[in-house]
Amino acid sequence: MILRKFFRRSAAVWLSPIILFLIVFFANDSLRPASTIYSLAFTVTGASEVFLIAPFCAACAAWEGGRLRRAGWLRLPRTRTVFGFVLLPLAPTLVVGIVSLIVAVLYQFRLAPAFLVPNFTVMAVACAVIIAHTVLGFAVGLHIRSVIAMPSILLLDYIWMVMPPAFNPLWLRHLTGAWTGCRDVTTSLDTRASLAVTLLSLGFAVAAFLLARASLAERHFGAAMIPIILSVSVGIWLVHSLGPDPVVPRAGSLVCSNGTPQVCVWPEHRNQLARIEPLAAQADAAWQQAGVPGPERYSELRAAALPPGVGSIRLQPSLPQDNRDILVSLAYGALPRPPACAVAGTAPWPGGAAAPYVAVWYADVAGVPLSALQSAVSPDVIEKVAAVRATPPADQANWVNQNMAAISDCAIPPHLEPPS
Amino acid sequence: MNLRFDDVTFRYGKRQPPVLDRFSWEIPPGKTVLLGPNGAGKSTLLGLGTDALRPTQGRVRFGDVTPSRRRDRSAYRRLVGWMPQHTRAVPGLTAHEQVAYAAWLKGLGQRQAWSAAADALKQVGLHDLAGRKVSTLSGGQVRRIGLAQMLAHDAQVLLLDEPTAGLDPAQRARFRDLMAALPQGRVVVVSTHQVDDLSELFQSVVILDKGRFHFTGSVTEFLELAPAGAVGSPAEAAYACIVAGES
Repeated sequence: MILRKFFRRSAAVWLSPIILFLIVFFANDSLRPASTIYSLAFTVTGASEVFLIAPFCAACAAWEGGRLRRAGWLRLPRTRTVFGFVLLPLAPTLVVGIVSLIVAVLYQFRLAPAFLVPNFTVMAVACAVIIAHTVLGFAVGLHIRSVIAMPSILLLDYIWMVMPPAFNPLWLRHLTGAWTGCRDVTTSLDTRASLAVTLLSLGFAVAAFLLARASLAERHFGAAMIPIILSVSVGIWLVHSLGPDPVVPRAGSLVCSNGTPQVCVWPEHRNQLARIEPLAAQADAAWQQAGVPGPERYSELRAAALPPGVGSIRLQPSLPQDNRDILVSLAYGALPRPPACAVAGTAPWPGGAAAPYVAVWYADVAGVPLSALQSAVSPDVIEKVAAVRATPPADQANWVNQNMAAISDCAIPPHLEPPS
Repeated sequence: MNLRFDDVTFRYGKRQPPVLDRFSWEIPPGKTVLLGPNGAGKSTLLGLGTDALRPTQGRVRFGDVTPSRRRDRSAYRRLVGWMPQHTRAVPGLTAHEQVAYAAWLKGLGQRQAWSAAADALKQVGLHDLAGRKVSTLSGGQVRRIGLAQMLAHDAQVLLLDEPTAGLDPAQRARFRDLMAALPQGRVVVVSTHQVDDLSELFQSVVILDKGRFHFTGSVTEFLELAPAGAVGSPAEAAYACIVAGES
C-alpha cells in the first residue's frame, strides 16, 4: 500500500517516458542490430543500452535520497535494516530501470527471425549494473543537495558508462557491462567479463551501503571508497588480458547433416542445413573432378578450434545468404589452417598470400563465376585464377596443391603464377 | 515498566568533555517534564533514550530490553517513540503517507502502518488534512505530524524534544491538549526550556543542567520553591530560584 504511494511519487516513474523514448530512439538511430539468429547477439545489443538506463536510475535515486536527506530521516532510529530503509523509496526506480532494460532487449528481439530466449547471464549482469548504480546514486543523494547530486550523478555516471569504450586499452570497455561486440554465433561471453562487472556492481553496492550509514564527518565516508577501489582493481585484473570483445570460443554441440561431406552448424542455423548440404555436395563433387578433394567435414566451430582436415563454414554476418555466399564460404573453409609459426608470428608466412588465390579457384570450380567475385577480391587475383583455370586440369591440381602446401607451412613459398 | 539510564556517560567526540557523566535515572510510567537551559543535555539524553545516540559507557534499558544488545535493538526501537526537535516534511509525501512510512520504518507491515497512520492522524486532529502534502502544512501542523509519527507504532516510551518550541500561544495550547490526551500507562518525557509549558498534566518535574540533576519532584513540590512575592509566574520563579541557587 505504501509502496504503491511511493510509485506515484517516484521521480523515475514520472520520467520513465523520457528513458523509454531514448531507448527506442538510440536503438533506431545508433545501434547496429544483431544480424544472426543468436540469442547472445540480440541480448548484448539490447543490454548495451544500460549506458543510458544506469545513469538515469542513479540520478532518479539521488533525487529520492535527497528527499530523505531533506526530511532528516537518515539519522532516525528505525527498526528496519538499511536495506529495508532504502527499499521503499528505491523500489519504483529499480522497477523502472529493470523494465527499461527488458524493453531495450525485447526491442532488439523483435528483429529476430525466430523465437529466442534472452541470454540469462547478460540480463542478470545488466540488472546488477542498474541496481548498483541506483543504490550508489541514492546514497550520494542522502549526503549532497539534490540540486547538485542529481545532475552530477547523471553526468559522472554517463561518463563512466560511455568513456571506457572510447579509450585504449580496449579491455577497459568490458568493465561497463555494455558488450556490443559479442555477436558471433561461434563465440560466447567470457566469464571473466561478466564476473568483473558483477564484482564492480557489488563494490558499488557495498560503497552505497557504507555511505547510507555514514555522515560526511565519519570514517565510513572514506571507507566507502575502499570497496570501489578493490572491485575496480579486481575487475581490471580479470579483464586486462581480454581482447576488444570479451568472448571465448563457444562450447556446446553442433547439429550435423548425414551427407557427404558432413556439415555441422550451431543449433541456431539448423534450418540452413537443408540448403547447405546439397551445395557442399555440389562443391565437393566439382573439386574431386578437378583432382583436388575438399574436406570430408565442415564445421561452424571457430576456425582456431577445428581439428586438422575439417573445413570451416561461416554463415555470418548476414542471413539469409544466397547460394553463392555459401559456396564462397565453403571455398574459404577448404583452405588449411594457418601454421603455428604464422599464428604466433615467429616466422614469415609467405604462403599466406596464396590464400585468396586458392579460395577463388575453389569457388570458381564449385560454380561461382569469377565475375561474381570481382567486388570481393583484387583484380590481380581474378586475372591469375582465370589464367590458371585456362590450363589443363592436372596443372591446375598441381598449382592448387603447391599453394595449399605453402599456406600450411611457413617454409614453403607460394607459386602464384599460372603454370606455363 | 520503567525507562532506565544506568551509569550513562556520553561525549560527542573522543576529545570532547562528556555531556553526561555516569548519569543514572529511572523514569516510571507517567508524564515527566524535563526542564533545563539550552545546552543542558536534554536533547542528548532523549537521543540516548531513543537509540539515536549510543552511550560511551553505561546503558539504557526499558525493562530488560536494551539497545546495547544487538539482538534487542529492534525490539527496543519499536518500544520507543521519538518526536525530534524539528519534524520535517519528506518532499512529495502527504501527511498520511509520511506517517505511514514512519510507522513502516518502525517495523509495522504496510497495511498495518497505513491504518495505524490514519488512527494517529485522527488522534492529533489532522485526519481532514491526511491527503495534503506535509510541505504545505503550517509549523504547528507539522509538529502534530511528528506527534502522529510517534504515536503510529504504539510505542510504550514517548520522548518529545522541545515539542512546543517556535509555536504561537494558540498552537501551544492545542499541543498541550494533545499531550494531555496521550495514552496512560506509558513513559512520557517532554523536554523543554520553556517553563510556562509546565502544567498539572505532568506528574513529575526534572531540571537538568550541564548533565546533572538540579531538581526532581512533583509539580506541586516544584512550584512551592517559588519565593514569596516573586515577579512573574510561580513556575518561572521556582525555576530561576533553582538554577540560580545551584550556580
